[in-house]
Amino acid sequence: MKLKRGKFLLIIILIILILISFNKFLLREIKNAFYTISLPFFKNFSLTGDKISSFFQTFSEFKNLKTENQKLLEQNQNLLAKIVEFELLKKENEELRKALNLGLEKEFQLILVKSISKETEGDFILISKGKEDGMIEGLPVISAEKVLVGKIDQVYKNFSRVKLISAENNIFDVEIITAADSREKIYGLAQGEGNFKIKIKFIPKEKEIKEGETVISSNIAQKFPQGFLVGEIKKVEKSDIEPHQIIELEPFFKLNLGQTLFVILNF
Amino acid sequence: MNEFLILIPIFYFLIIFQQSFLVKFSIFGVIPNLVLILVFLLNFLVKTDREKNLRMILSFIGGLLLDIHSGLLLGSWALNFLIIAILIDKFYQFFEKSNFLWFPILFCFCLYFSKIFLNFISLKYSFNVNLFSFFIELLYSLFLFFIILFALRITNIYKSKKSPI
Repeated sequence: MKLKRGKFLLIIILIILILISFNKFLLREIKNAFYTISLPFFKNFSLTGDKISSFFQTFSEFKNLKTENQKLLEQNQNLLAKIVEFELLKKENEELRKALNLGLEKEFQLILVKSISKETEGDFILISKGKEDGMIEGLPVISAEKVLVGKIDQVYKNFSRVKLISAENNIFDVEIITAADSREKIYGLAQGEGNFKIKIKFIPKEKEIKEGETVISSNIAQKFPQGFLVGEIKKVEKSDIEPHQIIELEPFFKLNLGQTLFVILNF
Repeated sequence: MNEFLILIPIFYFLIIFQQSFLVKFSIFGVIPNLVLILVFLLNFLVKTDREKNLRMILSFIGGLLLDIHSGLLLGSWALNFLIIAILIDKFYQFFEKSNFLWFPILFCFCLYFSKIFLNFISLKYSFNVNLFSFFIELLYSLFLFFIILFALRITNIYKSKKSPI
């Protein structure tokens, strides 16, 4: 009995030692090898999933189609008016640039990546480029529609793990574009809550914020580049005892996760 | 023994399936953990002493494969599943003759335990679990759980084994 218990303890200690040494020295290589093997399966399952989910989505969205169409038409008209306004501002801006002899707008150096899979526990995704392609930890990930997706968290040889902006306890600064006065700048701290949920905290109650307003990234803390789309305000909570309001966000990246993404290399 | 080794590639494909296919069908951003469901079923349905060690080893391997495909430390899910397998083995006798309605309740405990365990492993040291997400994951998992159970009963895979269903 004693001998059996000793053998059992020895096995446990051995397993723990092997796990510790793997975590310390070989984890990245092991993960990279497994991801390379799994890549074709990930791609096929993902494609099939996309097809089936879009098929079911068509059915579920059918009844809301009329109201949504009306809403989109109204939004379209508003956007058209804004485009005219922006065109005028653009011309004015170009003239000012010429006059001040400023260089062209700093452009980002982008690298195209594919989203491969999403982890079960936590808001993390795997992308198709790694250390060999110049990926380093901390680089921001965006979509083609200028939507902020996340930041590179871990780099393997051919793959990288991206921490989504909605990942639990991920904090970054944002700016709210209010409909009331587009020149007014409202800054806040966005905090990821996990499962694609984001909340904005520390915005005084006096600031008028409405549902449906757009939130963009700010670079006060130099965590993400400025001006990338983060999400739309879903819910505003005000309490009598709290000096700040809590705002719930609907992140935009949810729609872009299955698509091609970009990593900003020169941030 | 050989018939159980087939579970290793099944674990592997379930992980790929849940991380690439099931992601598209997430409810409020929640995806059920199919490996946890299978580990739970494996330890509850297969009840012979001969396979006791094999069940535990398979649970551990399932966890290891999940660790490789997640950002947690290698061994987090593996230890989690191993503890779940040991706990089910220890407390099985209390539920052996009980109604199979105990199944969802026990699964709920296993899911809650795995959340807490991962909180501690990832150095959050918290007993707090987002109740809304937990509830959604539980319902989603139970839905899949009963589908798998139904499939097992139809195919009579575990008919000859001593199990509560």
